[in-house]
Amino acid sequence: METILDILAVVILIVEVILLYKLRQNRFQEKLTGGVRAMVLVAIILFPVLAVMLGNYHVFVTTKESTACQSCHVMAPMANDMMFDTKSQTLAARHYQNGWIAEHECYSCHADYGFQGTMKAKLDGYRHLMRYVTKTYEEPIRYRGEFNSMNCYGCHEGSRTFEAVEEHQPVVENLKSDDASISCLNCHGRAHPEPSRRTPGHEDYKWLSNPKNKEISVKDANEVKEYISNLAVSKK
Amino acid sequence: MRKVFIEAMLVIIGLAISIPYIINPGPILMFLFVFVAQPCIAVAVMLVLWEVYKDLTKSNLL
Repeated sequence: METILDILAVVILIVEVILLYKLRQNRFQEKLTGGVRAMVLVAIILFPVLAVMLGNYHVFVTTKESTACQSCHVMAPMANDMMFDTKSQTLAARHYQNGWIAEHECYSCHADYGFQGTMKAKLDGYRHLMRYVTKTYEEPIRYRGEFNSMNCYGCHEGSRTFEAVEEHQPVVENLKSDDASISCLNCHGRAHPEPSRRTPGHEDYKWLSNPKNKEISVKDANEVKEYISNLAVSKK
Repeated sequence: MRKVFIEAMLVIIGLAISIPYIINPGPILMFLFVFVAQPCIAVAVMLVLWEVYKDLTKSNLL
């Protein structure tokens, strides 16, 4: 799909350049001929509207992908912990690294956020985009409001392992009530790294922001040396 | 032809942002697409449609 979009974008660009150049050649005509009118229709209405539609595909569909969340620097600690920290015990990392969610890992849990969903969710998405670009945010970022545990229930409802735990029944009743007071996180631990680890200056922050910065421990360094020497021997 | 000069400029600005965003989406291009490119193209389309409407009413077709 991405390749088709790229090709369409390049086609739009080429056609637009040709049409706008031809329109410029006709700029001194007092009366517009049928051909020029058709060019105006295509160059200023049809193709730009098509470009907006293709762009909105990314706004509403591609933003569901976890890599889209990861592309914002401010989300990097959450995404990198989820994707690359093999020792992490956060819920997000366990779900991602064990392949419990097939696709759209971030969006599956945060289904009530972003450019999809309710008007409030859309406004939140636009507000975050605005704050990110204008750099009017402070790290560590904090979740405004409360996570809706019914998002967990959406996947876990009816699963054998979930239904087998008797303690889940009163929790589900509580979650379904109008004044839910229980969160899945109360028993199942943090969803993402603690705010302190996501604060600039913390020893984990550097590599949580960019996993390439992870320092190799002495043990790992010895393993790397051994691997390289084995490789050199095998090539001989 | 001067009539569509502003519209053409707005479309050029809109596409200059939209095309890179479609090819390589990222947060900054997304911001520009949502808050700059889309309004520019929307205004251009509305201005052209307004011209078409004026032409049609002038020639008693509407």
